Amino acid sequence: MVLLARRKSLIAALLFVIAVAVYPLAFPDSYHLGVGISAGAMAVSTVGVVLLLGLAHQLAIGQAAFSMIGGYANAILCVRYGWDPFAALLAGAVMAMALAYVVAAPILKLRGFVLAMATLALHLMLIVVAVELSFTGGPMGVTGIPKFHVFGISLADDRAFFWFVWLLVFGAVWIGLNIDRSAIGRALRAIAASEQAAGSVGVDITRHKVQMFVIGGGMASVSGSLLVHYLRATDPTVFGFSYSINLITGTIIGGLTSIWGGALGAAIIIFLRELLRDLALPLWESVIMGALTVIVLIAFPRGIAGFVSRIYDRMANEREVGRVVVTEPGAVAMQPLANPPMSHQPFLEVAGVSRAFGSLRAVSNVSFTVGPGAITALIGPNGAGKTTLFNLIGGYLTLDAGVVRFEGREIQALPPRDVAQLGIGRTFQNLQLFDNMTVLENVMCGQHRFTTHAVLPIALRLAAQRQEAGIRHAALEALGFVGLQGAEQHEPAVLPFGHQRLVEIARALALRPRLLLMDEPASGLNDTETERLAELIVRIAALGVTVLVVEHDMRLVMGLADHVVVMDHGEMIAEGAPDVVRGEPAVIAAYLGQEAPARAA
Amino acid sequence: MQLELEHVSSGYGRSPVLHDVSLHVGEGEIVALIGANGAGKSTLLNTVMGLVATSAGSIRFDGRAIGQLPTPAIVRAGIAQVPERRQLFGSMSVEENLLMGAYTSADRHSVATALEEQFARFPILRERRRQLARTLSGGEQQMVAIARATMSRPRLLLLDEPSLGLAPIIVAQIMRQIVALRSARGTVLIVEQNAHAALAIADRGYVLENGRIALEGAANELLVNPAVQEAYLGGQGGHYAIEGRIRSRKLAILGR
Repeated sequence: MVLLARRKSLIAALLFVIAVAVYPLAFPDSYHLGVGISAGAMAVSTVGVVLLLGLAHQLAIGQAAFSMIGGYANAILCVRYGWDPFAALLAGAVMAMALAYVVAAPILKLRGFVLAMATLALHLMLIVVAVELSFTGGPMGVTGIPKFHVFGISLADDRAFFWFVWLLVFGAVWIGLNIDRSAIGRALRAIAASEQAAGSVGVDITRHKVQMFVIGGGMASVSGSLLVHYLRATDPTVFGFSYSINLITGTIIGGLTSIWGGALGAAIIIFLRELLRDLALPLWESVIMGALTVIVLIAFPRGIAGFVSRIYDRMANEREVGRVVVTEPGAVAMQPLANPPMSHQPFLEVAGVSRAFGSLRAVSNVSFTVGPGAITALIGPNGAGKTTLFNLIGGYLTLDAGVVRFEGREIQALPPRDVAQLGIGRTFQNLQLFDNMTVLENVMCGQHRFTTHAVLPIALRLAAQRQEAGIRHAALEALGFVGLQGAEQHEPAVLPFGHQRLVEIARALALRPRLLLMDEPASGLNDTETERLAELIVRIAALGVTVLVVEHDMRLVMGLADHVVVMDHGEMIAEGAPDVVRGEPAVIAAYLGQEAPARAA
Repeated sequence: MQLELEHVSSGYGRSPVLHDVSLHVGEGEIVALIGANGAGKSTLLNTVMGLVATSAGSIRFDGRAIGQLPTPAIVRAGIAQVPERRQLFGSMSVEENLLMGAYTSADRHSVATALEEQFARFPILRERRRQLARTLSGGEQQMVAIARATMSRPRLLLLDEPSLGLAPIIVAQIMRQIVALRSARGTVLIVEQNAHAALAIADRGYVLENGRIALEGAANELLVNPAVQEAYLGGQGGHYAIEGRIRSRKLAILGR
């Protein structure tokens, strides 16, 4: 799959290079070159859109705000202060990235359309500032911007500038592809699919959003700089809302999840706009653009890039994926835990933990310990508070009172990603797989805590590519361990339900957890699958991993657990060995209702 | 028979939940369907409501096959469901929630009468008629859920775990209300994990275990049947052999 993606990307690169090399020779007049330059300028900023909107599903749509910073920085620095345009371009990018970094923290806490509104509001503020300040030239803007040159090397020739602009497009695309194919790229997709599950493997959600916002801002700024040097003037209308809208529309048409697709879409949008002007239909421009977007989206939900990619797959028969053969658990060995927990100290300690939702006391004053290396089961009727307790331990909810200690360290105030970093893995009651990735990539996400997430070395391909091989290897091992060989290239959604559960367990194991939290792993499984799951859990315990499991299937609980903790109405009502707990009147009453019948001997 | 299921199998996508289930509910009866979590109780109710497709078998209501009907048609036929976890419209008032229950009725007069009936049955809801549903206590929310479902005057009421998350004294209160529903002409199929509470008010009961009917009989007999307890907390016989096999695999691998 990765190889396939590489090959497609190479083909796309080749086609782009040919097109860019030939275009100025075929259309040497300044009008056509100008259109090509505008298209390239816009294509530079699509990469940020693909990363943030396409991969991570964050509705940050006011990119033109940053293009405006770049455009005005160049206009003012070159015209008023006589800067070299290339230096001004770099300065504009730095300013835009600084602004993006400053506003990112408050803005990216927002989600969905509120985030969209906030990014548009930022843009609107900048437009107002540009109109009101005399420094920016007010409504008239700045004129007399020089043609582009790089430290004395003139690019005044439109053809040279065209090539330069597209060289920058290739640079932006290269950075985008490096990120897309790294641990950060997987993290972005994971955020889009399930923020909860992304946190469970240690993804720092805010950090990656901020990284992409800053990178996208820088690229948008470069785009604006290039544009004003072509136009030789700027005013507030150049970077109006329609600039953002065209950018988003172009990226969607080209393919929101494809770096190359986004660049292609931008080019298409600009050429289309010019074509409509040639046909003297400028009034119809937005109507036709809108209709086209809708049509493309209905016909090709993944844009033109997705459509072309599928045709390629069909022609090359590449997506033929192997049959999944489920083997016995442990068929592929995994390394036991290198430093298993010490047996003389409590491993996980829950002390006096409470949490209420309004007037409902979901968990109240619960205390128990989980021994190192043990399999502990947490049971209780529906609504007893088991999943709430799990979420409190995992950092998904904050507790009202109490302490959770993991290997002697208090963890109740940590967010999920930090809990994961300590080596606590988890699976979810309602499967939370990343449906936008292959099975193998899902499991590779489990290795996130062992990877570099510094964006610069990844973007510039200085690191991380090497670590990918190790991540892959570990993920394959985990998949083999749960018995899912041959499923690597499938999308999780096409697998039978029982297999999907195994993928989730493999993902949690790829984290190399010291403690594994499993929330109802047997729900939805048939008897054969349940027995296989039990065998898998035993083998996980044999690696030295401590297991805490919430489960309703009593055969699994009673057969598997060393220790059982029983909850009812948010309180712990019993704990002990399975056979002891099973006979406790309080437990029987909790399960059967208040006045349980005496068990006939 | 008012409701009759014959050899019904159903489930979600690739994972079947119910296998060959047959049960019936007579006019004016209260029937309890009990079983542990994950046994398929809610799936059975959702299958009757047409929310989950049947893969085999037939469902009849008043002698008419309803197995292939869409949910709105089944509601019009006279079946209403009180869903698990109540599913109230939290940001709407109690009264607005109840009016949603009569959404399909165009006759304003009869809607007003139905609303009066509900307030007569649950006087506390009249006091709280302007209060937002999400601010009510669990027991009051359950009353709203039941009242909303009966606004359309269904002939068969399906109740999904009305005791969920409620303190025992509130459970007893809700159960008394359900008995009162019957005296007001209704037929009730109640799904419960709380076996005792449900069997105490029911005429007959079924025990569902891993998607199959494991036991059925008069409610007072099931109440004292030790096999019921085994269905909840496990044991050694029948399909519980799995428990023994898991234990021996664990002993073999972990040595404990």
